[in-house]
Amino acid sequence: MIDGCLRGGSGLPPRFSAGRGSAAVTAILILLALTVTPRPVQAQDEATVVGRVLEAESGTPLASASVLLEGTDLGALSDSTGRYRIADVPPGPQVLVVRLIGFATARVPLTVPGSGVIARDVELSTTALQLPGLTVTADAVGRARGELGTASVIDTEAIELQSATSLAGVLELIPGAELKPPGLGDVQQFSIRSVSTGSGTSGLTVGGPSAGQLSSFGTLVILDGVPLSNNANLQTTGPRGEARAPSSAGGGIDLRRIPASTIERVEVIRGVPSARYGDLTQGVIVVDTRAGAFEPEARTLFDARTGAGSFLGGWRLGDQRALTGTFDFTRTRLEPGVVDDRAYRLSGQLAHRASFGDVSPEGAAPAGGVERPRLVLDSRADLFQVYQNSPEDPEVEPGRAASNRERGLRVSERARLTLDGGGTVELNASLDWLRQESMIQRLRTRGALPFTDRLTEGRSRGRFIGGEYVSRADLDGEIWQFFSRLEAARPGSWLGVDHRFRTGLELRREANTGAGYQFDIQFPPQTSFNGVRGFDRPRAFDRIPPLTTSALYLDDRVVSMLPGDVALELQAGLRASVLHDGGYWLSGARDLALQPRVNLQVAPLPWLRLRGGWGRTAKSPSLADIFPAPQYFDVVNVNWFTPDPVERLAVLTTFIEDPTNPDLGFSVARKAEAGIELASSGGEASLTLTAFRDRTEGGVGFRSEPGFLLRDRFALTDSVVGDGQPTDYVEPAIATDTLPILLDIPDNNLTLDNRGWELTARFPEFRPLRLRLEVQGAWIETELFKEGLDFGFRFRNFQIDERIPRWPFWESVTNEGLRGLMTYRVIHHQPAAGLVITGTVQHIFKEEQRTAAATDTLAFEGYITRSGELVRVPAEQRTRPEFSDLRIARSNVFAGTSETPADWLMSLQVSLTLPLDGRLSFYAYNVLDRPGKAGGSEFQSRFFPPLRFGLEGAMSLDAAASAVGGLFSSAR
Amino acid sequence: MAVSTTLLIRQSRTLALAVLLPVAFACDGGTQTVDPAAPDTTDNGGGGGELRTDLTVVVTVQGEAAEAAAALGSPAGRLSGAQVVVQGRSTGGERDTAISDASGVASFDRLLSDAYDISLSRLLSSEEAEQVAAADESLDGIRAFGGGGILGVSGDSITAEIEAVAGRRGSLVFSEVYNGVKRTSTDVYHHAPYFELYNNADTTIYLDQKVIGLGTFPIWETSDPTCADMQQWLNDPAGIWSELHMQFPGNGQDYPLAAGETVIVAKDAVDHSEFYPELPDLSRAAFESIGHSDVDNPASANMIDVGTRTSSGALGHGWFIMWGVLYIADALDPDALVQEEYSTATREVTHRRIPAEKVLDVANIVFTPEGLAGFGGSGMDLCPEAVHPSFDRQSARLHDEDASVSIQRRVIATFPDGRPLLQRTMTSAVDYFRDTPSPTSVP
Repeated sequence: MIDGCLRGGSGLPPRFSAGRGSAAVTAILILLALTVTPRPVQAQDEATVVGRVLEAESGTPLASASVLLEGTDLGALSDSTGRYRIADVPPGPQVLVVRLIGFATARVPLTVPGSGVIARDVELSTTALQLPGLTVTADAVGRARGELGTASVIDTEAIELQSATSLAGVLELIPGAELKPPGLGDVQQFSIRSVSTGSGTSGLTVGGPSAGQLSSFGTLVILDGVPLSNNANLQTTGPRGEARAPSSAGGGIDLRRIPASTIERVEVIRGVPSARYGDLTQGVIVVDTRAGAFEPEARTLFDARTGAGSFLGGWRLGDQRALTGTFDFTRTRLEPGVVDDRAYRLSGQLAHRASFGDVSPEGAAPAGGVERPRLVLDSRADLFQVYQNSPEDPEVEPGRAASNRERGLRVSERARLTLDGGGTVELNASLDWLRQESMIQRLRTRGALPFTDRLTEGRSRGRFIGGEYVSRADLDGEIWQFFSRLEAARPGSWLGVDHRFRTGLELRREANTGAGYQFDIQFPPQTSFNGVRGFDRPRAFDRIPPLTTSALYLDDRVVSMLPGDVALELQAGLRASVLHDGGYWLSGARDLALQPRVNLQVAPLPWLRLRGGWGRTAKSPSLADIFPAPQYFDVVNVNWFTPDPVERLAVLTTFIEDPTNPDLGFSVARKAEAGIELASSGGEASLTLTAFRDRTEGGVGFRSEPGFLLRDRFALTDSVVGDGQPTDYVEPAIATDTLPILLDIPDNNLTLDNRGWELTARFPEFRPLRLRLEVQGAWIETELFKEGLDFGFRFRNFQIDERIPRWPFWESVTNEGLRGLMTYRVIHHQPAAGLVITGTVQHIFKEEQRTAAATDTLAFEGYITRSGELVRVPAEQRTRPEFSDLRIARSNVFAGTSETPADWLMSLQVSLTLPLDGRLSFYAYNVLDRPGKAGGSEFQSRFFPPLRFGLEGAMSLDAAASAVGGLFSSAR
Repeated sequence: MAVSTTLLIRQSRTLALAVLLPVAFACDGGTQTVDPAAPDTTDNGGGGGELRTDLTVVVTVQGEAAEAAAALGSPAGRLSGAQVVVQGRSTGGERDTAISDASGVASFDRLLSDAYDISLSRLLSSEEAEQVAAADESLDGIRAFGGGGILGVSGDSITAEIEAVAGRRGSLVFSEVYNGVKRTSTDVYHHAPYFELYNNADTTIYLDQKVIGLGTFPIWETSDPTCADMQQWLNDPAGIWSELHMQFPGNGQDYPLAAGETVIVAKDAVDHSEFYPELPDLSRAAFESIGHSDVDNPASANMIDVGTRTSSGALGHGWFIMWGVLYIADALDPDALVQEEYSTATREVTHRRIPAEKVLDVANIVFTPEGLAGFGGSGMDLCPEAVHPSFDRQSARLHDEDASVSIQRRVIATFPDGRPLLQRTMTSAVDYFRDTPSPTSVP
């Protein structure tokens, strides 16, 4: 499919200018320029990688090994002498990935010249620890498959050395991620290129997402080709909830559901992803779990808090079929010795692959170089349960308890048809079922107050309640998610340039049919009524319409050689995403987002790669955003609380306000990055530096919209106190007054701006000591800004005090955060002994959070009257005496900067190959048990989790069985 | 080096510093600063490790108090027989008591360096009261002397003058202030506070349009405003400045209170024992404050919130602050009061001055050191003057969130008909004490 594709005319003009237009236009111009003035990639005897695949210990040639050039479709199979040959390889830093059943996957970095032949033999070993040049962290110059944007690739060997229990632990290997001890401690979410910001706006962002939630919500996780979605997660008590469920609602998915032991490869696309990927703002995490045939193995991990066991096996069923099974059980005690909180995970997967036609591994050149039709069917069933339980401990806090159980089953099918000429047609379809059950229980107390449990609008007699009670709220969600994608790709030559076109159609439908947010209305989570924002009532989720989206995308990737053996790669595409109005894809469009994306890579020298990318991405609002819970306001009309209960009378009117925003649409991110990559000729040393800026506009927060209710006052039939006679009220009302309220309207009013740089450096091995140094670093600044008005925490005074004729409002504030972090890994590796010692030092050299806002008494922007009129007051008039009542400082905003002291911690890992293809690892997080640093008046304290150490072991079951069998044989 | 100086209780903090600074300079050539709260380990030659100070308090009197003291046999301008109590302001601070001698002098030996609350009282027996009244008709009604102040104690010895004032019985007075907060392990029940007022006079008082209020806050040191900034409001002899005040309903004689009777003004006029047995039943309270999340007991008349700021508070159940400069004022028209504004770092305050001639009684109550720590105000440094001394001479450090105690006024005497006469020396530190809550009854 590759041979003969890259033919064409003359070279590019010496320079071209992008002008001042948009990057999309620039990309198109570049694309046109390439198509008009191309020069083909040179003949196949130039820029060709050849070599042999050998068994490490014996040097025996290995046949049928898959040798792929990472991130591309280029590849080959080794022949019977172990030889492979990949032609027309783009110059610059590249990574060969070599796989063969029974052996650990090898990733071999190399720098490809502009022309000529580069020879690279690859040795495979049964265990990764014996592979020369072992990678222990995310590969700096690796590429996600089919992607040109910046990506970190974490392959099996690095995952096995990480001692992680879930995907979150594996992701610590990418630049900028903080080290944490393994375990299932709490909800684990991940944000790409974002840090948490100041939170000095408790009243302002009521119920709205934090920067961390917003960015993790915009981080797409793809598991085995199918997106995981948190869009329909409604396990939250909403913006007015007084208690929070321990769930991932409002942010990204809980990564605890993905066991690290079953992961084969992770690609983290931090830069501009191709148009294939949608429903994101921050980036993409592509996770592939183990599949195909491989030797069964068992793994276990345990430390003082966490115990885990897993089993993995892949069996070939004839020539064209394979079955894979994985199973994992993990348990973590959250705070041993303090409370009995625990988290459990149970996970199992079954994967079946059937191939029809040509049996060559995907991406590898077929034997003989002739492409033949092939159909590969991948069927998967994925079952998991994550359960976190915090039972009541009366000695710690009576009445307090919480739990969260999330379990699900996903079945998916991928059919990939490879056609003559290398084109492919792929159909992905999956159906997810998720059951989410959260419980929050608290002991509460409240003063005596009038109360109604009315669920519909209108006036009714209420009653009086008060005192101490146990409140329990249950959130019961049942999510059904359907995803399908039909994609066609075809290589071709157009106007003399090598292209790989790709187009696809994606359909998604997500619904939640659970019993919903439920509590005994007599014992509500809230302890007062008639608040400014009203309160919630129980809500069934099954009445909420589904969230439906569709997308169409087109993508092209071209490779061309410029004069002077300068290789140029360009990937440009356009994605159109539609958010539908109803529950189906033909029921109308609510919003449309066009997302042009372009990535450009130039390799002017074999050891140098320059990259840049620009693009737009879009993320749909969540189901909770599109269909927010109604706000209930219980207005007291009669409040007659006599000492004699017989005479008492409460009359309340219930108003139900719908905060739904029909204009709510996509949030859109503009992503831009530029990077430089340098690599030594052998690939043993490399340096990458990437600068980025991601700006998400239209993130969904809540807008405070003032409104007013009318409150009737009534006379009573009997106003004598102490006569023992019940009383009633007389209609019509004798008076009516207004009651100001605020509605929390979901709105595309958040802007999240992330910028910074990332650095990775891999140094050559210091051979006398077999030491190698790998460095990662990131400087990230995040800014979260909310458009809209802030009426302040004390707006309630305005509501209840009729003597206050008007109330000030302020503009929103900006929350900022920044963090500078360097991670140094020193690796001592002795392949012959299968020994790897990794010392990791993480230095957080700068961490700061800021809240920027005017908080003085002249900060008000205007005022609202009791009739609802919003009046702005120019700044120069705010000192006038007539506005003295408005000169109130913002009591809910804590503007300022708080810095967390710079500090560092160290972790250690020792891994050793054991007989029977086994592996034993010792890990120690925070090996020096550094506590962190206490903050002063301008500093927040930094607390590191204490020293945690444990053991992890893996064993090949086949080898163990053989050994046991041999033992019995010899005994006989 | 011995230091002798005179400190009037009206002196500002500046004067107190002026006293302390020479002491500090005298100790070490004027090059070191002294932390008065820290134990001093300087060897003063006595074999011990701590520097201690001898304090001499001279109890002085002026005006009618001097006349009354003279009638009791005290020397001119002095008061003998007064009980003087010193209490260190540091947590766990030293406490000592002495009686002023025939020359009006009370001596305290070897006090630790500290800032001290000094309070004095001289209660008159019935015979002594008659003796005073017999000396001059205008002195009739004086039943006690009181006084107090704050003094920085350091150096070898200090002499301070404390002026005693003559306390009259007054009319409508606070007899009990109950915070009514029940703090559970998980939550707080804030709704059982009450004021108990008492008719300390011999004739019926009509509560109509009288006012209960709270003096302007803050009364502790902040960066903006400082205590010095607040002095013009806190230390105004013309009246008590106030934002929060609630007024009794009625048009003149709707709510009479007989001599020797009490009246309860509750935050919530409900039976709180229904929710927590240790809390009182206030369902028969005559008056209650009403809020937006509150029940309204029609058997209990609602206080009218007439302040420049709502007194309902965030909890929505009505009046919520039971400490600070609490006052009772005679019937008045709030809108006719002098009103001023001032800015703080957090807001602009509009407050009114309750004229001195309208102020009937003051309870100047602040946190105990332990209560302050529980409140989260460990760093709070209370201003030396929370109210002008003509209204109250010394605050009572009695407030906390212990639901089992309330702050009650002492009984100075009992009339033949059994009616108690409450102590009113205009010195909260000596007039009030902590006891089991007893709504509607005085000790």
